Amino acid sequence: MIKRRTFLKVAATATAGALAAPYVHAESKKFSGITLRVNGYGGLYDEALKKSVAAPLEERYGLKIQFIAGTTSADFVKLIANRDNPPYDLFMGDSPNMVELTKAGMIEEIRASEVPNVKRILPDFREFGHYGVPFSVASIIPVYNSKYIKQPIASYSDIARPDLVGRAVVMASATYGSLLTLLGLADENGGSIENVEPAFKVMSAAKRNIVALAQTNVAEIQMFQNEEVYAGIFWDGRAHELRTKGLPIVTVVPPKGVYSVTTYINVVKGIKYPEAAYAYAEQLLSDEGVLGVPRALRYGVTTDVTLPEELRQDLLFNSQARIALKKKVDWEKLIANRSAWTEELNKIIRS
Amino acid sequence: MEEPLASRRVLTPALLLAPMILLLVIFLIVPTFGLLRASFLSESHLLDGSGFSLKQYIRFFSDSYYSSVLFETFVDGIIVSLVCLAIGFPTGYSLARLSPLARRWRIIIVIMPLTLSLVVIVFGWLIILGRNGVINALLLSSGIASSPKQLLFSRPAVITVLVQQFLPFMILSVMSVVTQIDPVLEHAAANLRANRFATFRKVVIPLALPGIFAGFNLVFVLSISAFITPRLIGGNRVAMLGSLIYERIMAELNWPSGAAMAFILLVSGLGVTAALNALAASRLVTKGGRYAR
Repeated sequence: MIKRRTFLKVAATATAGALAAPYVHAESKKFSGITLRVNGYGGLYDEALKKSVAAPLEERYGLKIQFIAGTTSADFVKLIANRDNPPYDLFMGDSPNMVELTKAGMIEEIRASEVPNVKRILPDFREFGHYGVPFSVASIIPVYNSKYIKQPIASYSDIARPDLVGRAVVMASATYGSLLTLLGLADENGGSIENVEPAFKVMSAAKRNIVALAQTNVAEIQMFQNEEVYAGIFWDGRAHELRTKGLPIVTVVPPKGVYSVTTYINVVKGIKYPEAAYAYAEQLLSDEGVLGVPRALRYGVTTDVTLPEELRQDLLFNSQARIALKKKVDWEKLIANRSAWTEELNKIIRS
Repeated sequence: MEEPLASRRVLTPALLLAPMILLLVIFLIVPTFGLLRASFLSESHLLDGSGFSLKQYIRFFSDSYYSSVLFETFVDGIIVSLVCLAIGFPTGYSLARLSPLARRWRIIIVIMPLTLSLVVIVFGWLIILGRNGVINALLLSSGIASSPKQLLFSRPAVITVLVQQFLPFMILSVMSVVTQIDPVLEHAAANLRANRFATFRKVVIPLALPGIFAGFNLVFVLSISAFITPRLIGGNRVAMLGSLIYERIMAELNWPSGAAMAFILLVSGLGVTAALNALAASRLVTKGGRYAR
């Protein structure tokens, strides 16, 4: 027979539990019913973010994330054309896009008070003050197929080596990959962002080698796969992707420095659920979130996360010494010069 | 009773045309004016646009590089149209002379490429024309080549792919006109001792001219505005204005310059097609006059 006192205790606890349950549930699923729209990069990149960021957020908070794949420049145009009703809540963009985004005044500043994991970002990776949360870094580097290229390529300038006639590829002239290639070439040959003439001289010398300017990453991957080209300048993550397809692709770390773009997530101004967007950024910078993209594509990380050994070996920036090779870029100047450089490169290649 | 009938005659076509005109005004004319305005902006960025300037046009015409790209674009457009005509006319003619039942399946085959995404088609060609592709395999196995040839990223490759893409437009244009030419006319020419070539040259071709010009116009306009094929198959080594415009607007966000180029292409393209139409009209009138005499 249950005692009266015990019965009262149990009943009170049960009642309190029943009354509190909705509040507990509401706290754990505090973003239930909310869907955030993110401009996606498509393919494996979005898949990695879905797995490491979107899925945990949905499980924990009921928050849904919709990735809308497209090209960043087109997505940016959509964003500024719809300032009053932005088509994205979160905007993903690389360092050069950040210049446009901050200039357009369309993104919120993000501080540690809103996203505590911001404190974990390594020095030099936050290039735009409090704007944007950097979560991944991609480097443009020389790569070659060791089955055909026996004398190793050692620098960006080696793209002009005479033994590569009709066997090399660089990225299309207006892409960031191509602009960073020009910076790398300029840097190795006594130039700088102020003076890219030395880079154009190397490109003129390399013209006979360059079969095509790859319009997309997929196109460049296909050129390597089909053995149209044996050497080129490409993203480090994509070189890894080629290795996973069974090609003996060697990535080169140029001794004078590596040019990279950092990928950021931004909270768009005037969105309905900024708290949910900050939760996305917080998860993205967590160990689980920040390792998502490197696990899938071997792009570098931007936080103090401890790299698992199997990842560490594959990443370009896997030590302090390597990170020190990352060159600082004045993105504003790069954007200002983009049209002129693109035009010059087009003229060289098509002449 | 006359008046309501007359007003109905005017009103009915206007009402029938109204939805199309409205659609064109909203989705074509208004944006075109927006683009025209952008082409007169002095700055070279989407976000800095203000003022009125001819800077973008002056820059285009003062740089020989752009004039040469425009010229090459038109030359490529004409080559593609002529090749399409050479292949498309016999195909269109033979289809027109078939019974409707026999024609049906063949037309489906002709238009099938149009149902595929252009990107899929282009990536297919990248594989076909690659060093390890079908064409190189054929060249090697037949002994024509001793090592794989670089077929991609060249002007012939771009022209080949453009011809494949736009050939159905030529075939359908020719076919639609030839079906209306009474075969009795060809028989009559034969009765008058005209051989097959003379019949073709003096009867079929003149009567098929409207279809030939329509097909030529269509293929030409589509070719000069192509940008995916020159970019992916040409690998930036083949200059066509469409791909430069795409680059300016989508990659560099340089809308004023891209808009100016788009207008130059539009106006010069319209100029060429207007000249072609004028030529077609004069030919048809001359023929008509000759036959009338």
